[in-house]
Amino acid sequence: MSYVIRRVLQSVVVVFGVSIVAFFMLFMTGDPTEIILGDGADHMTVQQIEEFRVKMGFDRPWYIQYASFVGNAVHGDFGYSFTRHQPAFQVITEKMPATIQLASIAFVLSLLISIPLGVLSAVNPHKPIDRISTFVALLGQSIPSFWLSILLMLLFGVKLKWLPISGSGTWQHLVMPAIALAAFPIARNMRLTRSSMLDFMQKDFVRTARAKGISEYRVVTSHVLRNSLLPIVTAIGLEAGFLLGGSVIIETIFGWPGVGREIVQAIGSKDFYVVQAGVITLALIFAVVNLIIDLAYSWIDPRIGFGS
Amino acid sequence: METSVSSFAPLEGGRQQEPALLEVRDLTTKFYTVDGVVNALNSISYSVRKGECLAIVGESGSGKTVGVLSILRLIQSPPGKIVGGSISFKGTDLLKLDDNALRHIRGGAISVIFQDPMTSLNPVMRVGAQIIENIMAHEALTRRQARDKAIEMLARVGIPTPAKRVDDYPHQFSGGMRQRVMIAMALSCSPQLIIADEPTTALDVTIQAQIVELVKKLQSELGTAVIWISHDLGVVARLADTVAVMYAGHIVESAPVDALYARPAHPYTIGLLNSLPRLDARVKTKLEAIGGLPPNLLGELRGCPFAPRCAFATDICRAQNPALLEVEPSHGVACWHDRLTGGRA
Amino acid sequence: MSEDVLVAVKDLKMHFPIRAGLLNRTVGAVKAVDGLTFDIMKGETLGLVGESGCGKTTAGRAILHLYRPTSGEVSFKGVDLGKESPETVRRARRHMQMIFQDPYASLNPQMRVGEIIGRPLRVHGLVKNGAEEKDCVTELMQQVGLNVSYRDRFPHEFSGGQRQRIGIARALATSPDFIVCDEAISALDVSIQAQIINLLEQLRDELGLTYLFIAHDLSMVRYISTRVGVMYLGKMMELASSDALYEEPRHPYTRALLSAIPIPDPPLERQRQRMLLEGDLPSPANPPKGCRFSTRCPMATDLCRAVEPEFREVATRHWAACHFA
Repeated sequence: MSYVIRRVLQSVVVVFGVSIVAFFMLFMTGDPTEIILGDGADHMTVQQIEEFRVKMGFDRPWYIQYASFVGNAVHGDFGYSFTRHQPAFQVITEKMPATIQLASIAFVLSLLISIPLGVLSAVNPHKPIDRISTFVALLGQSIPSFWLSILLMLLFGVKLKWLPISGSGTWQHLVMPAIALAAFPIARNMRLTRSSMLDFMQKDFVRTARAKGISEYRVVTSHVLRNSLLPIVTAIGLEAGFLLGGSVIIETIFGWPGVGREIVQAIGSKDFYVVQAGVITLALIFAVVNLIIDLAYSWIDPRIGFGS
Repeated sequence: METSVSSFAPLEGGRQQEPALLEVRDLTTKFYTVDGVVNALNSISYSVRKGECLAIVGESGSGKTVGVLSILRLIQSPPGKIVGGSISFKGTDLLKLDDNALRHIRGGAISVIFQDPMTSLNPVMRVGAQIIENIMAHEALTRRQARDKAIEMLARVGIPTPAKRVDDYPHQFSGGMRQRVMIAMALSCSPQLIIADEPTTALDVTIQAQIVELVKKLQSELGTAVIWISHDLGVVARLADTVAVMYAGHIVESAPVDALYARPAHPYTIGLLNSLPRLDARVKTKLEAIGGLPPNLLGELRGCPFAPRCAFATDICRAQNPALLEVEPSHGVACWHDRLTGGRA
Repeated sequence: MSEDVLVAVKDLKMHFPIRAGLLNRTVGAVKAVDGLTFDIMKGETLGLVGESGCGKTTAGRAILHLYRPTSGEVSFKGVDLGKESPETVRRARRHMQMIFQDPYASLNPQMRVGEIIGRPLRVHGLVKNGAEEKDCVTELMQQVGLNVSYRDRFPHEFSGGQRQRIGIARALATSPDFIVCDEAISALDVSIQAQIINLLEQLRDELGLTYLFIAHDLSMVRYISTRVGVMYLGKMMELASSDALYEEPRHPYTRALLSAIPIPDPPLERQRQRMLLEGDLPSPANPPKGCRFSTRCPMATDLCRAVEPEFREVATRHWAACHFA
């Protein structure tokens, strides 16, 4: 129990850390007033700029500003989006479902493909299935996702005209972005599964299992796989981060209306509060997913649950 | 180079009439590694009778583990490969069995107790489940019945509160208790032969004594034959009916236990016994160490493997490997100048 | 203090804290060594035996100040090292060395053997230049029976027994007075153990060394030691001359231990009376009340479970911690 509480507290600390970074970004590049006003400042008098500064509260000491920032954030108030004319947080939450949809599909796809392939490779080392899977995995890890995206668009969107190259709405819109996003995780998880399995196949308790005369299938599943999954589960937690972050590029290329694309656009149009809201929300999701994975790990591995 | 044993029928243990339960003949195993071919076993032969305890003694590199785990084909293959010989269990050659038939025997008629109970049990599976798995693979019982049997086995090996402990994980047991779990698992399908690969080496001496007594008791209760692999000549003196001494992949001497300790014939056996300090020695006699280094198993070997370290080695020892021949009833030695008869060279 | 005492240990305690809970608070301690008092005389070989968790390895390290004792005193040649500056302790290390258990882990695989043996000479400023060092290393290698031409090889090119010889040569480099052999032969093959024990004895006689021989193989300990101490759960249960301990053990644990050791003599083994202990070793984090051995002792009484017995002299130069010794 104390492990759970400690873990939750850690997550809270992480999110706070991110909020501090996100907050201070505004100050790192100079006077926040000028950043927000941008070119508009050229047309304003010094007095108007000063009024603006006071109105925005930028004249207060930084710790008061941070405190009010946190106070507002807890209520979901991240400021106002200049380009969208909506509260910044609302901009993010409107786009969140699309990102989650894409990331989840990619996640499930990666698990469904990588783990069975990894197991098959480990059980048949150096045979054709292994060699092909390993080669494909190598490609998956080496090819940059944006390049793969463009290739897919060219082939399936332009040449064959099977799939739409942009936007969202139907399941066909989901196919290419999901594949492009899942490529790297599939490759990495497959190799991880394979090496974890190969490692465990050598262990003494697997020899004991064989010595009991149980079927090879049981040996591979109940004994090898069950133990191999432990390191894989940890890696999957980190993957949540990748999927959320990788989605920025994929969403932009495919015009998928998610949080990632929104943040990129907000950066371009200096819509600062949207960027801040987006970063913190993503961090929160990332921390929660990792927390769940860690807790799941301690539940799966009976040795951890028992403490010292 | 060959070690022909056709002239010597391996250990009868004094009961000539009974056919052997297990008979290993001319077993040869090689390991094909990146550094070359390792000759782990060179045409070894031994046998075990029903209810007998055969101890196989040797140091690291002697081939004792490979020589016994080959019985159930539990050697990593690749790089290991059984290249010759036969292993006859109740009349069937185990080396000719297909995988399915072999699986039937593993854990059933022949079971194994491994050395390190910490690493030899699945850490994320309850011990009861691991025993039940063994039972269900060989006997037509329901899950409930199998579970009851598992609890009964745990009680039999002296684990207190077995009905509760059956659902515990291996790391919740101490080393000695874990080894008892392994023994319970090995006994669960009433095997006729148990292979014990240095089961007490990793345990404290008082726990070792407990386990040795347990195995002896179970052996006499159930009439199971045991092959006990060890490097500890003290434990072997307590447990064994017959002993086979191995060196560099050869069996260099085999005899009933009393004969081996009272009248050792092979210079290596003699050297081993002399290099052991005696707990009960009143007068301190200097330990006679065997000089030289442990054998190198890479590549082909000419002559007797012990020749480089043997005080009595002559030219014929370096040229030709001696066969395992009887020097007194049931007592075989592979030596050109054995210390009992003076040799045959 | 007698002139002959080389190392004096007084009420040595090594407690390792256990941390748990939300704030990583110290909730208890593993009492690895819990009050050890004994002397090591110059020239003797004191054997220290016990099973896992008894604290013998920890005691050996604490005596060499590789661990800072939680409390208690360790004096070397009359000087309490716990009260000295780090520099003094460092210089004192010249005179006290250790040979480790694992010949595969205790040698730096990146260093050549000659370097490994010669390094202590340089660290303690015992040689003026490379040539002198080379000569010393040559002499040391010859002393331990290593082929001098192998000085430029790496540890992995040697067998276990040879690596242990390298470890011994390294320990001898600074001409120490006192060497702690921490399970120095346990990881070796039986036939090589005798070689190394003979070497250790020969060196002891030639160089007048004092050994603390920590091991779990009682037969070997009896062979090489002049006196033997038996430890259980962090405390000393019995301490006596080698012969007295093995022939007239006073403590029930010693008796159980001795009866558990197998002797390579089949007829003898068959008729031996075994004193089998029940159950497992208690945890050093939670030792039993009263006498530590009371949970497994076949002779335990209520007194034993309530009152911890004193470590007292029960015969001439023979100590035991038992109410009924």
